[in-house]
Amino acid sequence: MLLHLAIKNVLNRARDYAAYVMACVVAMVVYFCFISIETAPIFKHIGMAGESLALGRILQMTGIVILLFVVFFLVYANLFFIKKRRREIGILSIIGIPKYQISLLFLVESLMVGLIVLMVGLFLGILFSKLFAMLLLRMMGIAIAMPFLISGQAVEQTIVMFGGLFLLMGILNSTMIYRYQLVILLQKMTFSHKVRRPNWLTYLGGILAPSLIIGGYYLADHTLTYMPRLERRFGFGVDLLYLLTILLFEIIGTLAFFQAYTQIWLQFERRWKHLYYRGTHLLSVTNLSFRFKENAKMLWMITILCAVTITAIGSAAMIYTYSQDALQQNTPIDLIYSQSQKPAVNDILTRYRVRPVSQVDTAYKLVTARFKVNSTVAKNGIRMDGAAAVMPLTQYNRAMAQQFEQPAVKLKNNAAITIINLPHTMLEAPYKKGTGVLRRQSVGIPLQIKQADTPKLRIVHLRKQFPNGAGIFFDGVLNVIVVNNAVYRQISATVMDRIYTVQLTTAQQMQKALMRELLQLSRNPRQHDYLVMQKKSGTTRYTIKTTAKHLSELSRSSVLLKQPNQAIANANFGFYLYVALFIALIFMLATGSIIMLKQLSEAQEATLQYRTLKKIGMSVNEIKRMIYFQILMLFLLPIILGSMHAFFAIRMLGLFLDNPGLQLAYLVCGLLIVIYFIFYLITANIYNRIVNAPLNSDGFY
Amino acid sequence: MAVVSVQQVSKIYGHRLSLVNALNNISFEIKSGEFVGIMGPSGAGKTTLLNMIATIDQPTHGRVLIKNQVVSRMREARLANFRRHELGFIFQDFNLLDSLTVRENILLPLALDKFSVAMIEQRLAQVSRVLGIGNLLARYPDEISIGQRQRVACGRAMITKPTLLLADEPTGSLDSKSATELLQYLTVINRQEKATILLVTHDAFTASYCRRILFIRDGQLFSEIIRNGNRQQFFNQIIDMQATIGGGGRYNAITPGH
Repeated sequence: MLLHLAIKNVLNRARDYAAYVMACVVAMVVYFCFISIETAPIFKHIGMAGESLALGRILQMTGIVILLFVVFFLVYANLFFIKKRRREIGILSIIGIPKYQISLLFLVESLMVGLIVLMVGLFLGILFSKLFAMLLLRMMGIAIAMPFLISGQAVEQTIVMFGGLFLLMGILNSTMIYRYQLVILLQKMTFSHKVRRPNWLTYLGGILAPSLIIGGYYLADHTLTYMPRLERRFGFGVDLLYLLTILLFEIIGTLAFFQAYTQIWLQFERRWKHLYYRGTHLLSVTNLSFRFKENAKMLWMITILCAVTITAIGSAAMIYTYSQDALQQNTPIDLIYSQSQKPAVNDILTRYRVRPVSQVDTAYKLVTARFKVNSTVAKNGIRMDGAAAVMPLTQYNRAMAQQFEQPAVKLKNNAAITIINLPHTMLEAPYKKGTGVLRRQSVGIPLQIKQADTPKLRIVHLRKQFPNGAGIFFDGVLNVIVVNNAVYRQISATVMDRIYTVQLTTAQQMQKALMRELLQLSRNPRQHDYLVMQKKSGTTRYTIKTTAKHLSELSRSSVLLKQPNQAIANANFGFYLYVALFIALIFMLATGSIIMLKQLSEAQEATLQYRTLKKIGMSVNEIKRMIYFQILMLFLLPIILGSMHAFFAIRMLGLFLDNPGLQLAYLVCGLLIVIYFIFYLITANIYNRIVNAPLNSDGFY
Repeated sequence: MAVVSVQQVSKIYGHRLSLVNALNNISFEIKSGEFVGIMGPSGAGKTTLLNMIATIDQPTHGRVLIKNQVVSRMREARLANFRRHELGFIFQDFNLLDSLTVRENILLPLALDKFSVAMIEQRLAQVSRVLGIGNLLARYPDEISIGQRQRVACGRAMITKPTLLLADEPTGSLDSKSATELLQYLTVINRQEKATILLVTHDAFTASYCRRILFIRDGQLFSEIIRNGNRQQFFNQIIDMQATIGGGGRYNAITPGH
């Protein structure tokens, strides 16, 4: 009998259950896809990429985050669903069914729904997991044919996890009957759209909100100006405090924004009669006022979640771009080696009969140079004093054209280009950010090369791209000075060095044995070069040795190889980006569905209001427009505010990463916003269908 | 001139297997400036009839004309417009919007029609003077008494100067004092503003404020009485008619059934 009733209930309520089942299925598919990647045998065979990844650990952590979210989400959805059925419990108990039987009924019903979800979810999960796995491989830049395998472990884990969850929720639901009094269960849920006049506290909050938010943005945008100043006064501990202040400003500001600012703003609109008394404006303003008040905490939470999600995904994308840039700058060409490694490399190349596409050698001199750049992080500027590599202009131009596709530069006799390893965001005028070109009015920075008969030089360009890659220069030197060929000849140095660059064909780079040998050479610590400095009567003598005498000596890796490093970096960052994307996707789905559920649960209660409006002469279309507008506002504000928070957070991070390209970050964020927009459309559509039925829809047959 | 003309209207509800004949071939007219009541026992079809005239529901057969327009065959968008301009509604449970102040509740129909602010203010002042709610305008509905709430609902119905004011059990939620007050206001509106009022009630006291009463039973027009003398006499007439409808009264106009 009981089972019969439970089955009937589920079938009759198929429509009500549909939304709940769908939410559960989505949660499960996401969980399953993630777990199946963690356990997929294919990822154990990836070898080289897999080794360096610590793949399992990160996947495990992410799995836990996802699980927590899924639990939270399911419990939330379940609560909404069960709230609708309070009257039903009341009626069942009033006709004399004992409490334990009703409890059992609810338990059986929940378990049946759970079973359906489990079956549908697993089926879809298996379908989608392959898709996600392929996406991951694609992002890691690994080309492997993926067999269609069902991971038994993933299936088992998902069944155990979700089976347990549904059982738990069934028990939770069935205890509800014991928790409520009959009177309360039978009561019609009254719902009032009460609006309170704002008090002084609301006004205070309303003023505080924008000032806190904008203040936080200002601090974030001027981090490199204020942080060093505070550091000088209070020490480095103040950094964390500074960042926490920004965070706190935004969090409190956002809460105040939804609690108070929206109220004040809408109250203000009410005074503006010419606009307020016009069409549905009056209704929209008051309804929004009520809804913001009612949903302030939820909107706040969602704004923060949005901000975190977009920041996470945006910065992952930014770091990806940054690392690609860094790799390109460190190793701009396939193979780079120094003079000392020439025999070893040449030996390998001849043994494998490699005929490179091009082979270029560049000579440079090591001197002591001194100059100063103004910086936002140091009050008196950063003083550069020490070894520097001097390079003739023609060779510089040739290297830059080949490796970075940069146009050729011309230099006057007393002018120089300096390449320094410092983020340009940390430099202060007179350098233009980004390009690093000195402003016209300045005549350049004085550059002193410590030698008797060198002309006085001035730096006219500051750049960050090292010809032949930053990696081939000695760690601590990392200042390259480019001068006119004539000047270069005048400079006499104690030591000269040569750098060789080789461009290989794709086929050559695919030769595994060749690449392995080159990689071994580049990773061999005994093949490093060391720079030895000897101070003698004011001048420094430099010598390059292949063995270190002191640990303090500057070293460099003398063979740089692009391809395998590139592949590893691609795999790593592709993987991180994938994980970040996955989490972002879940956060977005969760936030979207939380607003959706909340709105839809309110829709039932607002039906009467919209019926009244229709009776006094609003057409179905007018109401539809009004609903779409109101829900749009409700969805839009958190995403706009969240995006703004994220924008400034990413910008701040960009300051430390020297403004890498943000296109990828924006693209990914745009994608998330599209998902969110789809949620809006669905919510508005369902809401409209609930409250905006034609008046005479009942009673016809 | 007839404001409302109900012509051979029938309404059938329900499932194919259990049809309910809510209204059965009813015809009558309401002239401009009349104050008409519709009475009848529960399930007689009073509210169905009102809904039909209110353009909220459509008849199965027959047609309803308001100001010589066939409203029973109008399209939804036009109907909404029609309701807004020609009809005013007063509901049993007021249906005021909680989020709007009294002022905003009353002027809402005009705002929807995009009247000028000056016009809105003028009409608002006039309506609140007639109904005596001038000092409540800034309050919210839950800050005033239920009698006052019904007057606000009345104000919202009146402000568009509708051709026809429809009231569905307007005193149903009120205590007797508030009910008397409201009915006096309705009488004033009827006399001073020359508003045509149609109200549905099953309360004889409420009905006694009308000038004419239509009695319906089982979906058919049962009889009609017109007020000639004072209200007390009219009230007694109504009580008798109710008894008759119930069976066994003094005015057994039609012997039912057998």
